Order: sequence, then structure tokens, then C-alpha cells
Amino acid sequence: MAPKRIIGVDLQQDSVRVVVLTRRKDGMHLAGQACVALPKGEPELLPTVLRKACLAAGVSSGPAALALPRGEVAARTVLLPPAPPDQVEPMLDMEVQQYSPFPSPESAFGYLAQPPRPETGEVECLLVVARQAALDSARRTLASAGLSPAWLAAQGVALCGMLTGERPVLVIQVEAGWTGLDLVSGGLSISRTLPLGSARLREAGQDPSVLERLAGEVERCLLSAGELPAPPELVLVGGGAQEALAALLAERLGVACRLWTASGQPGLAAPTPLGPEYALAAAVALQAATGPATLALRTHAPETERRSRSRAVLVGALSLLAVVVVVLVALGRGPDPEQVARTQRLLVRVNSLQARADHLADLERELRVRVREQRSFPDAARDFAVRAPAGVWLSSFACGPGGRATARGKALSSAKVGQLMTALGESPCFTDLNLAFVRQTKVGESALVEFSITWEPPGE
Amino acid sequence: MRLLTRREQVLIGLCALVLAAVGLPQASRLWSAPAPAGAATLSRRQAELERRVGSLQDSVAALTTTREQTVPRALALVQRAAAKAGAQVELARPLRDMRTGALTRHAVQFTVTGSFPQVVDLLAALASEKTSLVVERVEISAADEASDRVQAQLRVAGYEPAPTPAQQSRRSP
Repeated sequence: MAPKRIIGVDLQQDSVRVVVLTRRKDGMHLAGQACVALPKGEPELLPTVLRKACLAAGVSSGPAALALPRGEVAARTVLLPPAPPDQVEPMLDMEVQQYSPFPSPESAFGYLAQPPRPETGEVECLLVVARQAALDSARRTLASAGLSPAWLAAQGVALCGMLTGERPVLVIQVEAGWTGLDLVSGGLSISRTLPLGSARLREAGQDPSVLERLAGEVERCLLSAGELPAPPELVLVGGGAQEALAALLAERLGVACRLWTASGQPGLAAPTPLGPEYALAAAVALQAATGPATLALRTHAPETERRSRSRAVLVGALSLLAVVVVVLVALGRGPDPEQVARTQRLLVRVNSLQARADHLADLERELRVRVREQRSFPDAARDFAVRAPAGVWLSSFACGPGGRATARGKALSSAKVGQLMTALGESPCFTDLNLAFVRQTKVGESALVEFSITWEPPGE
Repeated sequence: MRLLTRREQVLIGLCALVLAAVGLPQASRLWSAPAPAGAATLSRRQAELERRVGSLQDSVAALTTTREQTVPRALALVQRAAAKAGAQVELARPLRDMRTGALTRHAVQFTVTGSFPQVVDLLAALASEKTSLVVERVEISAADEASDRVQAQLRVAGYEPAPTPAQQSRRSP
């Protein structure tokens, strides 16, 4: 999501310029601007001066956009084979190293893709490549002044992006010590730098050679742009841009040449006049707020770097795996052998104790059965004697372990035995009462019956 | 985009195979090793079993009578009960030891005479004694046709655990 407020920063050799834009419903509005001179030969003061400029423009922090110096950036047009939009960046990412003029293995890049050509489907891209070191340096500079780097791009691309409308524009940026010519339109990208500073160009009226040199370079650029559908318009920007120079160039070249001002800039509402020295700061701020996001520079790690990183990751992962295995092996020697032996002895002891407990439980059960008290026998004998009717004589009374009790005797008749059975059946001492036999017998001259009765002693 | 050459890929694959071959068995050994919690459980179980064995040993000892203890205890028991009931102990005869299951029985056979109520009282007195001896068998019969005296045959027995084969083999030499 684009920030509501963006700070455009232009760092030059002699000054720091800041433009603050705020987003409103009707577009971007100028909220403040400041230009603070940078003491010559004291680059370490740059963060301090930048901070001072921000405060002068009415801001102390926030997202900032910055264009890298011309020498740190290269732009060129690349023609990619037909590809869907989401594949453009990966393809360019592979091409960056090939097109980068910088020997450093790491670089930054941004791009602007044109719509695919209708006849072939090829995609024309403006590829901007920068030194990674320059990108890092710019970020550090902004951060040291309390600003957060939000958008970093190339100067010429940012200027052309802002100025180019229906008609192509050749931007002439006049600064202390140099003059830059930039033309970015369609598939064309031209960038030249002349060692003509603003001080020399101020003498262009008196020294025709100076004007001639600049005009000659501009003519070459215009010739290179001859394939464009319309001749480019010349726009002067920068701290050294002057009406007089614009008039001289227009007269010399025969084309329109004007100074940039905020009042004529579409998409930017400026309540206060904003001169050409602020063009670059306004351009990066406007491009950051409304321009294509792909133009922002991002880090590109070349394949060799990525490969070495991948290898490092793989080596790290394998090393970690090896450490895990070594730890497992160390632990896999098992718990302390003494501990294992102790546990095994414990297991044997527990098993032995369990067997001993089972054996003792069986013994106890059997002993309890054997040593059961025979309380019922005397009661049964006493009860038998009480319940036996007259005419019944008991001759033996026996009871053994785990068996039935037996009573034998004689009676006057079988009826007496029946009475005895009935009487015993009413007693709780005799369960499962059974008459084993009754038979006739003689005792002297008397005829009697002999009987045997068995019963189950009641459970104890 | 190929980040690694074929040779590097093969080498990494080999490394992974070797590491897996060395590491997996060790890991499985580690996982299958008895956990410290197992040793703690065993210790607890050992303590429980030791308590249970101690309790069972006490119970078994209370129910046990050795061969040497049986005869004097049985004599004292029956004489005391007979004196209490007014019966007479006519005969006391130790019987041969007999193995019954896991136990060995030591028994003494008594012949007691008296009236039927006296014999019944004697049996009641024996039954009321708290002892590890037991009256296993009683046979009451008339002593003679002319009187009301009866004769009782009593078998008083005590039990002890039979020696295990291991104990027997230790005793034999």
C-alpha cells in the first residue's frame, strides 16, 4: 500500500534537496520543500545536512525516495521472448548479470516492461542495473537521517518517468560539475553525462564553444531518437537550469526548450512555486507514489552467489544431520550398562517375588481348607442325641475331613428311623440328609432294624 | 535452474543414505531401550510384592505346624480338653506323615472314653481352641452293650508345606 506521505530526496555534490508530497483524493500535493547547501569536501556531514533539509521541509521521519547517482546506475532496453507478465521478473533476474556493466557479483535492478509487441509477443523492458554497494550506501544515508528507504531508483529514469507524457522528453539536468542528458521513451533509453557544470554553462552566452558542446551532444541524442514517432521536447532541470540557457538551446537547435516547474507538472498540485532544482526530488517522490513499482531497485544475487548460498545451506543441513546422527550414536550406545543391568536384576527379582507370592497364596488357601475348624461336629452329635426319639439307639458317629458325616444305630422299627430322619431334617446341623440303609437285625431275641444315616456338615 | 551439479547431487544422496543407515538403527535402539519410568515402576512393584510376600509368609506360618511341634501340641490339646470334659484319654499314637497336595500332614490318633455327653463336650472344647491343629476325624461308638460309655477315635492333625524338589535335593546328601 502506497504511503500517504512520501519524501523525495535529491543528493547532489553541492546541496541536498527535499520535497514532501502528500496523497489526497485529487492526487499528490506539495507539502514542503527545502534545499540546504552541502559544505564542499565534507561528505560525512551528509546525514546531518539531509536531516536539516527534512526539518526545513516540515518532516522529521517517514518513507523516503531517492535516486542513485548517475555513475552507479546503468539502463538499457532488453527484448525478452514472449512470456506471461509474472515471468518477466524471473527472466530479467537471470539476465541481470549479463547486462550489468559492474564487475561486482552482486547488483540491484529494476525494470519497466512495455506491453507485448502485437506481432511477435516479445516483451520490451527497460532494465536498470545498479551497484549493490551504491544501493546499500543510499539506504544507510537515508536511515542515518531518520528516514526509511521506501523507493530507490535511477535519476534519469525517474525524471523521464515523471516528464514523459504523450510526447517524448529529453531531460537536460544541469548540476554543479556535470550535465546529464536522459531520454527514456518506448523502447529507447539514452543517457549521457557531460563534464559541463552549471558554472561553465552560465558562460554559454559569452563562450560559444560551451554552448556548442552541449548543443552537439543534444543533437546526437535527438538523432538517436529519430525513430520516435514525435520529436522529443527539451526540458531543463537541476540546480543550474536557467531560462537563458533554455533560450540559447532553443535558438541553437530550433526545438522547444523549457524549464521544469511544478505548476506545469500533471498529477502534482503545488501551492507554492517549485523550481527546476527540485525536479529530481519531485520526480522520485511522484514515481514512488504513483509510478510503476517494478522500477524500484532490488537486490539481485547472481546465480553463482545463489548456488554458493544453496550449497552453504545444504552443507549446513548435512552437518546438522551429521551432528544429530553422532548424538544418536552416542546415545544409542544405550543407557548406562550398569543401569541396564540394574533394571534387568530388578526385573528378575520382581518375577521371582511374583512367583513366590503366587506359591504362598496357594499354600495359604490349601492350609485354610485343611485347618478348618470342625465346630459343627460336636453340635451335630449333641443335637442328634437330643432329637433321637425313644426306641432309637446310636451305635457310632463319625466325621472325616472333607467327607460326609455318618451315624449308625439300631431302632425298634423302620418307622422310628423315619421319625429320626424327620427330626434331624429340622436341625441346621444336618444338611443333605440321606438314609444309607435300613435292614432287619436281631439282638438276642428282639427283632430290630439297623440303619445308617449320612449328612453334609454345614460349611464353616 | 540447476543449483547443484549431478556429481554434487549424487554425493549428497550418498551422504544422506550413509547417515540414515547409521542413524536409524541407533534411533530405533534408543527408542526401544527401557525407559527410566520402567525401572521406577519395577521398583514400586518390587516393594508391593515384598510386602505381600511378607504378609503371606506370616499367614502361612500361623497355619503351619511342623512335625516336631505336632505330637506335643496335640497331646497337650487333647489332655486339656479331656480334663475339662471329664473324659479319659486311653491311647495316643502318632501316625505316619502323609503328603497331601502341596502340604505334608502330621497326625496323632487318640482313643478317648467317657459318656456320650462327655465326649461331645470334649469335642466342643477342642473346637473352641485357637490352634493350627485340627480334629480331622471323629468316630464315636458304644464302648460296650451294657453301659452308656462310648469310645471316640480322634485324629488330630497339623500341616506344613511340603519341601520343594530343590529343598529335598539340598537335604538328601
